[in-house]
Amino acid sequence: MTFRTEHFSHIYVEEEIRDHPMTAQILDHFPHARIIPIRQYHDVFSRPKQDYTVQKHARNLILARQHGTLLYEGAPVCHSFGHEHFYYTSPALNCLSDCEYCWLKGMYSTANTVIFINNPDEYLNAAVRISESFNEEPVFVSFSYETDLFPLEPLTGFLKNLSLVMPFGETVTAEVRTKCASPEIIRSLSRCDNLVLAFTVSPQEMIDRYEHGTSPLAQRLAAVNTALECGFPVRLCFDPMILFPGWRNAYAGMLETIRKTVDLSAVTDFSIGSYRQSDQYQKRMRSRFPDSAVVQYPYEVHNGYCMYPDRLRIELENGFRDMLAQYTEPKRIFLLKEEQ
Amino acid sequence: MRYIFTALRNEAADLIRELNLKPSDTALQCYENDNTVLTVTGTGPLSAASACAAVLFSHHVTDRDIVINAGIAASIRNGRENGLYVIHKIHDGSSARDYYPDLIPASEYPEAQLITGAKPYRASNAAISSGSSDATVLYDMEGAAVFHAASMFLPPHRIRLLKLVSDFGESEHIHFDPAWSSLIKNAVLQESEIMLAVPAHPAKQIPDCAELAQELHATVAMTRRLEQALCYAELAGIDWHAIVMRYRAAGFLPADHKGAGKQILEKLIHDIQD
Repeated sequence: MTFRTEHFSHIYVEEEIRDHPMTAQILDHFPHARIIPIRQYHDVFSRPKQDYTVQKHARNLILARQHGTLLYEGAPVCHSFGHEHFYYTSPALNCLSDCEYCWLKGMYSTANTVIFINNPDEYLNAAVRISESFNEEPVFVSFSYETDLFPLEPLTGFLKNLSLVMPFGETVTAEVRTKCASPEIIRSLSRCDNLVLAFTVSPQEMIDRYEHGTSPLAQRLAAVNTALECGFPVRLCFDPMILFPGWRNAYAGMLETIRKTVDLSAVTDFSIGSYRQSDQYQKRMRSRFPDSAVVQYPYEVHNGYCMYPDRLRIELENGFRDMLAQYTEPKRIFLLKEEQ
Repeated sequence: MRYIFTALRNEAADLIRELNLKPSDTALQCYENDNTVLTVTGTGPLSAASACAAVLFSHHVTDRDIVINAGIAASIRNGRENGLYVIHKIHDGSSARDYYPDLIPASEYPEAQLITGAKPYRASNAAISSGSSDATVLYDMEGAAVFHAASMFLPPHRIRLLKLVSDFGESEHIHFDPAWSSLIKNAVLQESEIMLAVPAHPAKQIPDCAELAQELHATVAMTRRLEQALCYAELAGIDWHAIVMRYRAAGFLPADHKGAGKQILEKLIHDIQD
């Protein structure tokens, strides 16, 4: 596109948090942005007929406050890593990157990003209360369900603050997952045992094809090593695994690269999962992204979810699991089907 | 196609002249040429909303089209006399609802908020929306109505409001300055040009597979599955024509009956999936 656009030229701010220090901290990064007061974020975020493909050239930012329930039960098609009590929360909605297969593109019709002006301890307290309701049983909370918090960290400082409060929630394990390789951000975090830094790793061919605006594989692996050096529990997520021409060699080659780069014995655990998507979201994505091969793939529908046919899914997931198991203990590898 | 809505004939006069628009034979006050429909809606939100909805519906508007509402407005705060503004927030005074156009691509004009009311502006009847005191706030009687109606048809980056500050609400009667029509014309032409430069959302390219569907005795549901598989094949660079030729050479096609066709369809999808 040749027309003039600019990211975050307009920042929509809920009136309720206009004077909040976090709001001021974020707005300081955008001295030339036009600040537009709004009553509630849905008025902008959920407008009808928005066009992601146009908006992604000029994303806008929405600052809002999250009320009511802060934690929700995790979906059955997501990894719980052996935890009986699996929840997710959303300190932000939407990513700054542009992965073609992302389910958020089926759920939301906008490329704009919402950052909630809520402190990390609000989410942690909600998780602790859930744990207490289960007699102090461990609770697993995914903080990156609907966003990648790392690219937003220079604006929000959310991860740093989360790392500072996590030691006060001993029964809670938090996971923050990213495709953004930023050793600086990792080093800025306070080390704690119950904050898992999870890195989505994909073959470089897949990153080039489908994970636009994310870090290259080599940089992600360098970030993994930084996280290990800093003493964080580290998770490697081969999820979603995607079929593309040459995928067998690409995944085998990626594993070889990882094995040579990362001390796999130091990695806490691994997750493996092939592409799956709500049938409803898939329909919307097929209409919104007619040029994306990963979106238009003829998936099979099982129990309301689009996924690869069993023969391919098993070859993809189990085949990779078997290769990975040569270098790590099988009990540290989590396959979605086995978890279910 | 661009659809322009103004409340007054005076506001549209220079546009009608410049674009050589001809009156159309409708109950509405419309002027048209091959790529523009300009409608003089009359004043007030009811007139504006009903005219806008009627025109967009009857013209089968598509997402390649744009809507511009242009006209004069009173300045409530910080508006410059004769200044032209592009609107980034619209507050409907009647329903208290807010609307937000997407200003993609960026406009060359300064931005303002707009309050739309059912009565002419008096300082006493417009509640100034909150926001920083340096924000420019204008008042009109049509903007929210046009945006609301147009939103049923178009995405928010295809609808734009351009308002020229005519007064400050100090008098009941406004003397229409003929220069305003020229300013409005220039703004509409400039903004519509940049809006139309944004490509429309691409449509899904369904490969032509009517002949193959016939050979498979495909039902509607089978045809949809076939189309989806072939759509992927083309995007992924898979030569599905070669696969079909192979099936024909092997005698699988044409299928003897629907049941056989279904089996061949599954085999084809299988081959494409792999």
